[in-house]
Amino acid sequence: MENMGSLVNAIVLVPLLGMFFAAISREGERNRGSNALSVGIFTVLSNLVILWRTALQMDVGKDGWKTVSRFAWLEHPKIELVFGIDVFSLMLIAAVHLAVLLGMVGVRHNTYRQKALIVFALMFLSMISGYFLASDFFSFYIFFESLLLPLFMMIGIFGDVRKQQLLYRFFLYNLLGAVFLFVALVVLYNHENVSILEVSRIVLSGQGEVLVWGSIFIAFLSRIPVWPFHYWISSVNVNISNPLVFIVANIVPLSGVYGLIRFFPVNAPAALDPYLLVLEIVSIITMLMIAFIGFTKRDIRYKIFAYMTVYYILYLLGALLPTDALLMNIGFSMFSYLIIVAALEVMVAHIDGERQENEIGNCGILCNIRRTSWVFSFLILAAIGMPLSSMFLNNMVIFAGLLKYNIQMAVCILLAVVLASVSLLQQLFYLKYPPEAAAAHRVPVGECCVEDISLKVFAVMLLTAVILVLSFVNPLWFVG
Amino acid sequence: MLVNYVALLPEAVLTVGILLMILVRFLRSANTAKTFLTLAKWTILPTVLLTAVFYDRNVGAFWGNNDYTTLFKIVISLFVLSWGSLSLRRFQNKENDSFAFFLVLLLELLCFSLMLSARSLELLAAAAVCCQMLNYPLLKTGADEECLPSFRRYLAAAVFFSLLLTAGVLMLRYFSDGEYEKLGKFLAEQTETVWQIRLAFVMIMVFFLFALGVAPFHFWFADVVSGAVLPVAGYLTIVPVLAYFSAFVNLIVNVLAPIYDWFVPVMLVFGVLSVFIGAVGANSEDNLRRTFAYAGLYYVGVLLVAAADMHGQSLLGAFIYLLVYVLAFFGVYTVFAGCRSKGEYLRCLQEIRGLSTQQPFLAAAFLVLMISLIGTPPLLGFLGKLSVINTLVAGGSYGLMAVVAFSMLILVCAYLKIITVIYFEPRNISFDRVDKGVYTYIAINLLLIAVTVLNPKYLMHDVEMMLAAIL
Amino acid sequence: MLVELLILILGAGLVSELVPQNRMPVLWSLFSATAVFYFVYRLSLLGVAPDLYLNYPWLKTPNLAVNLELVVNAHNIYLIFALSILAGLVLLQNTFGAENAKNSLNGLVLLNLLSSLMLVFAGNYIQMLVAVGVCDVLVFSAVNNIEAKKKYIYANFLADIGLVSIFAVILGQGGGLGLEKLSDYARFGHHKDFVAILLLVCIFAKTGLFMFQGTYTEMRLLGFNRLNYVLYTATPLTGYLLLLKTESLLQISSFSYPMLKIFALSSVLWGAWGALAIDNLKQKAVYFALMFWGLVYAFAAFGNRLGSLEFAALLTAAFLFGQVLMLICMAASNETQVSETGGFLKALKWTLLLTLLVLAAFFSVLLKVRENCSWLAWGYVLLFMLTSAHILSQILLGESRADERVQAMLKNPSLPSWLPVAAAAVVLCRYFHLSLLSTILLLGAWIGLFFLRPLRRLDGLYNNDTLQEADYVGTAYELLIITPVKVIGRLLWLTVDFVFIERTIISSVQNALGFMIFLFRRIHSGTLTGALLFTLLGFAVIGIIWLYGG
Repeated sequence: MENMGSLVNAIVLVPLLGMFFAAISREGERNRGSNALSVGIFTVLSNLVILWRTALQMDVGKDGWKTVSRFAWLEHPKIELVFGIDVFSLMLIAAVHLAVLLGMVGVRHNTYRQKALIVFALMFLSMISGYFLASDFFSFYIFFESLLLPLFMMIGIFGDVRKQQLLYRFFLYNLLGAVFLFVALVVLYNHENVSILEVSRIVLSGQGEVLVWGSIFIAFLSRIPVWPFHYWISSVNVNISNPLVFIVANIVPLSGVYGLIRFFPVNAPAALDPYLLVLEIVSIITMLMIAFIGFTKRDIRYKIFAYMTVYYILYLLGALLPTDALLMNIGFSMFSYLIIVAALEVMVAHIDGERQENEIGNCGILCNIRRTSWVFSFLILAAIGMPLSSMFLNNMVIFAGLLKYNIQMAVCILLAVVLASVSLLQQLFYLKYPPEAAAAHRVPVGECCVEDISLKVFAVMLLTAVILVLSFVNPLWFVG
Repeated sequence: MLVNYVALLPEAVLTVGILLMILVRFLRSANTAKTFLTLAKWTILPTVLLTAVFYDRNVGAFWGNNDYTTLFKIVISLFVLSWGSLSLRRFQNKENDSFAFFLVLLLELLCFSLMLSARSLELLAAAAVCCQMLNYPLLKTGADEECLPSFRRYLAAAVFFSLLLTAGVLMLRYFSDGEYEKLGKFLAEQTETVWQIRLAFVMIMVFFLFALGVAPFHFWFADVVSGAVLPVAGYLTIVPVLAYFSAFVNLIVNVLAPIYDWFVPVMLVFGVLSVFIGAVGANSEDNLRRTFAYAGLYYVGVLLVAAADMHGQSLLGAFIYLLVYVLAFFGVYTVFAGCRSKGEYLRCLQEIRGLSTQQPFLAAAFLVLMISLIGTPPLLGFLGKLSVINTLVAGGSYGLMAVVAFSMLILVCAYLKIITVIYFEPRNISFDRVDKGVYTYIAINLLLIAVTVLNPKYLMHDVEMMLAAIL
Repeated sequence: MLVELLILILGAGLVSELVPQNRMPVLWSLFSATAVFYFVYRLSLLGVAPDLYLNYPWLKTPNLAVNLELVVNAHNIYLIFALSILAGLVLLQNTFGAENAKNSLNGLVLLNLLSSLMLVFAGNYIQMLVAVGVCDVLVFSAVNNIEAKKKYIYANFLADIGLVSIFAVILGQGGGLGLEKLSDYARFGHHKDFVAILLLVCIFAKTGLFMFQGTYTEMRLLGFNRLNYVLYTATPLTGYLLLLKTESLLQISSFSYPMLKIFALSSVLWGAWGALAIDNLKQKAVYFALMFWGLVYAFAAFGNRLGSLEFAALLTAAFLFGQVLMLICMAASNETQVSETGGFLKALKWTLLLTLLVLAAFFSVLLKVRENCSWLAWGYVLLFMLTSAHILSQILLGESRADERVQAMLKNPSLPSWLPVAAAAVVLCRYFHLSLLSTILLLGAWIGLFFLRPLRRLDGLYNNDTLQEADYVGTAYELLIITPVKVIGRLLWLTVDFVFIERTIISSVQNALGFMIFLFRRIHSGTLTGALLFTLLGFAVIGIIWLYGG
């Protein structure tokens, strides 16, 4: 277990170390690989190895949450930073690492402030890993809030956000959520200092209970694009053309979902039930609304955003069910989901880059680039829930939970999922097979000036596909 | 008995240093700013040393040293010394200005020292009034003509509030002796506070609130700071708040506590007002110094809110917050000292556009400091925020906590604006090379932040020990 | 043994899929076909009543403990044979016929065979759903036409989601994963009508029955062999297999069987109409498939559930007829417009003979399996005779409208293409032989219709462009589903996002902050008056608290 503690600490520290090395690395010459990027990729790969070693030390079939490392930080108030791990956290950290790795592959040709990009990405990786490992109130909050800085910087520098007001709002409402969480956790802490998983031990007065838990709720919710927060998130996300930044920005809602999963549903007091119902209704309406809007929008990034939102809310609603039996399934499904979206974004960025370079339309752009087309099709099929990743079976179990709980709501959720998925399919066909009306804008066959992804990237994508398929065959394939 | 007078040695050294500086100025012909800085350095360093050595000696009933006063004296001296060093470049080739600056610096340091160690109301008042009056020549050092009217307005206000302090002290003297011990005993014995005593108390309080720049007596601060040259502005932002706040707390806790309770709501109202005005004010400015002047108002407001009841736990929170924020502000002003173009210090937000592209480390330091000021973990500001919010929650002041927390969001807008300008906008001017000194101080500042973050026990422990001396 | 054989198919499929598209396609096709026939051969060694049951633990998560089951017994052995033989025929045809991306198609056929077998073996619905999903993905890859691909994936994705939902409902209610336990759902389950109706809709969508046929009619631009592979051995088949596996769920609702009957009979009729009215031969093949699947479902609806052997034989016969149409098309230099053919009999005598063989096989099988549904079987025979005779008469006997090139190139299909079809037809005739008289009568009737062409008035429909291009169901979907969804989406964006959030909430907050800043600047004017006012305010606060608070 001691060894496990070191490994878990290393998961947080290695990206920080990588960040330091990336910061002091010399910029590579133009048109040549950036040193910072190499450091970044090496760091993520190293951490994946550490994650794998950690997984090997866990009894994945039996282990629940295990506290593995403690660090006495403050005397007054007495604060100990505690790290722990379970399979769910492990899956999420692995998925985030793979997603960021894919993002780094996607920015390999970026020449604009590459060092800063990698530095902030590694900082983000460290913070979010810490968040998934946090076991006490304060480390949970510390990582929850601290991942905002790299996020803000990345979106600000590389996000192509046209209106700065949007960026401010995005940051502010995220910070607002963090403030709510902080206040609630301090109140809880002043009652009793327990680990997150034992938070139900704290008994608060009637109104205080609602206020504190409501604050925690709002805090996590602010990270998830639930109405009306979806507007800020969407307006920022759809403008981001840098794949790594897009991936990082879209991992942020995960922190909200994860927080809710850790605090709810088994710990939430009964007094909160009516509010939970309201939240569920609002969530479903949001899902449907964004799915509908995504269906009508032409912008692929909005469609991906709509898809991500719908799925995040699906996981959220799954997590809110009064049982924690779905936890593993949510984890398994999210594992694939994050990787798929990351890979998809890398492909979209490539297509976008080619489109801009050649000053052509999107319509039918995939016609003549076979490797990109194959990868794109695979990812879309996996994304919509075909049996190509762990999403297929695990989503079914989540649906089963939702349908058992409330069939009317579940049908609405299914409708949103269908719409979001069909939107992605629509986009696939738009990019791959232009309709008759758009034939005029189609890239002429034989005069193709659009470059396919390189063999190296194709190999990475194939490896990603293999990982996804393996996750379908056995979600815990990496531990045998 | 006589041996106890060695406790006055630090002040004596300061006095000698001041006299020496005057002599050098008038008797030596080839003086530069470095000459005066060297003199100031060699005056302050022994002062710090002697302050540490005689940390617990009292001189009669009017003068006392303890952990609390010693710590603040040392901290203030170190900040003065550091800031003086950073200000050197601004005064190069300007003999008169540099002499005035370093001389007033030493004089004010002497006054602060007196103010902190004084155990007599008269001495405290005299030192405090001197400090206020000394600010005027300090402000005029190197300042443009057009700024003089605002300095004069400040002088008028300072005179007014100094008179109030003097009047308050005299009124109290009418009822009792000015020594802290006796006065404290006298006030404690009063079963019902007579209005004259309460009025005198208000006059004294108001002076300190004015000196701290608390709303609604904040009107002078932003104007003064934006008009003065950078060394003066930096000094006024960083140092006086430490001195006045520590003296203020010392006075209330040791002397005025028996008649203080009714004043708590005033402190809270002023605190909330400061928090709110500071946050909104920071957003309304394009001048960096004014922005940070209002940001400072926010932090002082938080200090007031946190320390309003003047009890152990709340004071602990407030002092941690104070040290954290002053350290961050020192860092911010150090960055300002590095932001120059064609020899001129930059003041406006638009002038530092794209700073990160040419001075990435300076920009990174600025970013870290601002994030720390926001209170985002894992930076040092979080410790301050944690201590204050924890204090408020423990005291059941949820409303105040909400005001503090949500005003912070408004303040964050101002910081975001600055970060945006530095990082996300293209550069339109060329920045001068940054002095090694600036980098050194930034590195030290960041190192202090890092060490304190990793092991905050030192800071917490020191503040606790220090408070134990006065509580 | 079975596992090794399945791995052989998987390996062969993956190899075919991975080899470059145009690298030795004939060799790879032969290799694939050999793998399949070897599989059939090894399977045949088990006899007609084998009893193999292999159970492998697959997923072990608490919510999803799934076993992979491989079952070969008397109930499914013929189906396994049929699926394998059909795959073999497709692969053989791929070897000698003209097809794009042969290697890829070989791989997909083999992998699809494997997924269909996994579906046949499935003893739990997780394995069943996975097999269905994999089949969808494979067919999606096999369909190499834009519009067809689009319609195919939309329909099948929605059907898959529907299926997932149904089994999620069952799983959520603690129904267990075993298919044999589905019959218990009538006892403990809720939302029975919802489950049964949605299940049927999904099955119909997969098979492409009436109202859902648009998925397959768009496939007219696919290669004929590919088309036949899709129509008879892929997704429509999975739909029917799903029905067989989940039939116990249909009994929980009183709506199921009436619905099944209506859709099945409508499919037969609509298929016949389409086969007669549409000019394109490939589309006709699709409508014949629609008729066939309608028939199979009608048998199920009217209580004549086909056994493994019967269904296998019927499926093979129908597939062979599809192959005949393909061979005619190949013989006519891939001319697909029936209106552009005519008078081919002279050059295609062997093809006519093959047609008669296949028809004999088809009628024999159909009339043998009819049991208590004679009216359905005879009615279908009549309809099939009318349509097939009409079409073949147009092609072989009709007035020649083919262009000179087609006429000049006209020739019987090559022996390697012709022989497997003929052999399969002969085998079917041999096993399902009717009396000689009945066969002669049936073929005589068909030949009579072939020469008389009683429906010759329908020839004019080929010239009706509106009819030929019409897609009534597609238009209805567009109007009733897609357009409203788009309108709702736009409206929501405009009202909720733009008007409410952007223009109301955000603007208000911004204006409030702007107003505060404006006020702040006005107050902080930097004048003596301002300072006095602030000072007075401070004293006023102190005064008020002194008087009322202290």
